[in-house]
Amino acid sequence: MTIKLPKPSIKKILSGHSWLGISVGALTYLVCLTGSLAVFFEEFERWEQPHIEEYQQYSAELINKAVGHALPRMQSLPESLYVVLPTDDVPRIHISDGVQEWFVNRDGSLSEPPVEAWTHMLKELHNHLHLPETVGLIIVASLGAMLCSLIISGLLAHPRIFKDAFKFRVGGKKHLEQVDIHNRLGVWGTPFFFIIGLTGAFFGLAGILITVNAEMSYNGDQEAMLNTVYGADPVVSNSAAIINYARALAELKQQAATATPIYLHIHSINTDHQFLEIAATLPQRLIYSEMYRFKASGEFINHQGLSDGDAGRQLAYSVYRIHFGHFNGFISKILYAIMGLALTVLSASGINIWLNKRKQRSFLNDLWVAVVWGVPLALSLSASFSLQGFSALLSFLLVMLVVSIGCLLIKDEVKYRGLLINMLLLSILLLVASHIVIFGVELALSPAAFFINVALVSLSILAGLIVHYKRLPFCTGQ
Amino acid sequence: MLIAIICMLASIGGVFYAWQTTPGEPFFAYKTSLTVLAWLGVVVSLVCWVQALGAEYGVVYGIISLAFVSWLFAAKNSEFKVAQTKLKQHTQTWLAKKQLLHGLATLIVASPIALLTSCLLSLAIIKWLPFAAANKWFFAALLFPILWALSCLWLCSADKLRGPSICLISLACLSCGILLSN
Repeated sequence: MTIKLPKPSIKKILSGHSWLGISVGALTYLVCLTGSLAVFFEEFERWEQPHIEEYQQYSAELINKAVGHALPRMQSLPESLYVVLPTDDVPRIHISDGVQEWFVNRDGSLSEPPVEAWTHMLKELHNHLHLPETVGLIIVASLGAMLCSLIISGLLAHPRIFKDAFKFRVGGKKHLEQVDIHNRLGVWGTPFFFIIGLTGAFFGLAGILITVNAEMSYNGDQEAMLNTVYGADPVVSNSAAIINYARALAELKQQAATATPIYLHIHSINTDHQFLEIAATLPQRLIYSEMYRFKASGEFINHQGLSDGDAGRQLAYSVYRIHFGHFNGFISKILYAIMGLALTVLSASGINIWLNKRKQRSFLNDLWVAVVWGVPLALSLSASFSLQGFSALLSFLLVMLVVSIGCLLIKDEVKYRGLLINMLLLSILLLVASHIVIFGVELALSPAAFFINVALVSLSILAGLIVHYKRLPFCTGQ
Repeated sequence: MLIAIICMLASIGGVFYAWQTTPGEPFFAYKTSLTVLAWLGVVVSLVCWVQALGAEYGVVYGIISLAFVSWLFAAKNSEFKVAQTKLKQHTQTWLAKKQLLHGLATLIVASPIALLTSCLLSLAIIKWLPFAAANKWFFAALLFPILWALSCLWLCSADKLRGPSICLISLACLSCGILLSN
């Protein structure tokens, strides 16, 4: 099977594919790698604060107590108050007004606030590269669009891509090896990678579209536009003075027996137009949640129609779970992380192909090694530093700076790659050791932390064995 | 779910076997039929995924399993050779500056034009669609990055920027006119 295009057109598309790839390669690599790790952000958050109480059972009384404890700590009555309920992935309750946030103990008292440490840095790096939020979001979203462009041009520019569908040469000439890695990963992963690119683009570009569309069709009223798409909030007056969580939760069971509540959103608390929304996931659905609305008395008002409204509304509300793989338990997260790493390798191999095609080496080769192996090393070391109380972002940037200077001084990409890989493996072991020293090892206290440590040690040992197995390309300097 | 996985393994196995078959081998005459049959098997596997996990999860798992199983067969087909470690000479030059400048200029100049045109064009297109507002908006939200991706590719592939740029700017003006023509 081949895609037949005239040769000059193929040449032009290939040139466009190369230029696009070179222009966005390094950033795409960074976003893909951080995205693959960010799939597990909930587990990493539990790993960072393993001493927080974990439990799955909660009652209306506990929610009431938590709200009662949180409100006096807030400077003014919040417009929105969120009580995030325990799930299988995160068996913890936390309460927030969007600015301040605390975990909730089993007895309803407030625990410590969630830390904004390494996991926060990782998420921000993936979401907007630590740039000012809007600019960063648009840049990351444009990488998603460019990924779509690269996928389309990749398929069009390689007429033999299906003819060579299973060809895979390992070792030998580096150029051929990288071409095979790039094309095999690319061609079979295309549908998934395209979805990830498109949904990634959606997050940032939707904002531009909302602004322009609101300006053109809604006299600049963005809220009116969003209400048309996602549905408007109900208008409630003469609310009961105290919110009846027990009745609302019981009503929810009657309205949607299969729904699993994930958080409560209390609107305009302690005012006469307060009401309660319960966000709940539905089985076999990718929508982030359906929103069930209740009066303060607990009487059911309606649901937002995110699960059964217009197809566009359902799809728009499904983008998050499709992009991050947060559905159907831990298995989806693992599959998404593997696919994400495949996309990361795809990005790296694309640049490798271009570098190998050049007649000579230059500092770009060295710098690329610093990016490919320096980013994971910087992530790992910044996690260690973050556990010690240092800024995760600052540590990440410092390590990247040192690694980049190192590559320019050593000027030997093979030696430097070997050095960085060994340092990466050691740094992961160091990270686990630091965590154990600080928090100890107790499976019962925090299963997430225990299993992450076990996984990190196992993976680094496995990677070490693979790297030092002489038939594979890393070890022979390729 | 197990049936879906087995079906995917068998189908991609069929695609792989058909791909491997060379002239002179017994099944070579049936290569095309076998390929078509195997791809039908992939569709059946997707249906099994949907049956097992519902349409939404099923499609995602089907797509992922297609990639995993295919990579498995590619790995099975891998040819190992001793890696060649000969390094090229290290030089101070890193890129042809003219080429680099052209590439960067294309990207910097072209991206905003292509972005604006794609945004306006996707909103103009949905104006005529007979869908509900939410459906129209979501369609535009998907169309926007795809149009941007295609126009960026067009600009990056073009020998000269003038033609595509004029075309994109004209499209942007036309879309703007349509959007303001109420």
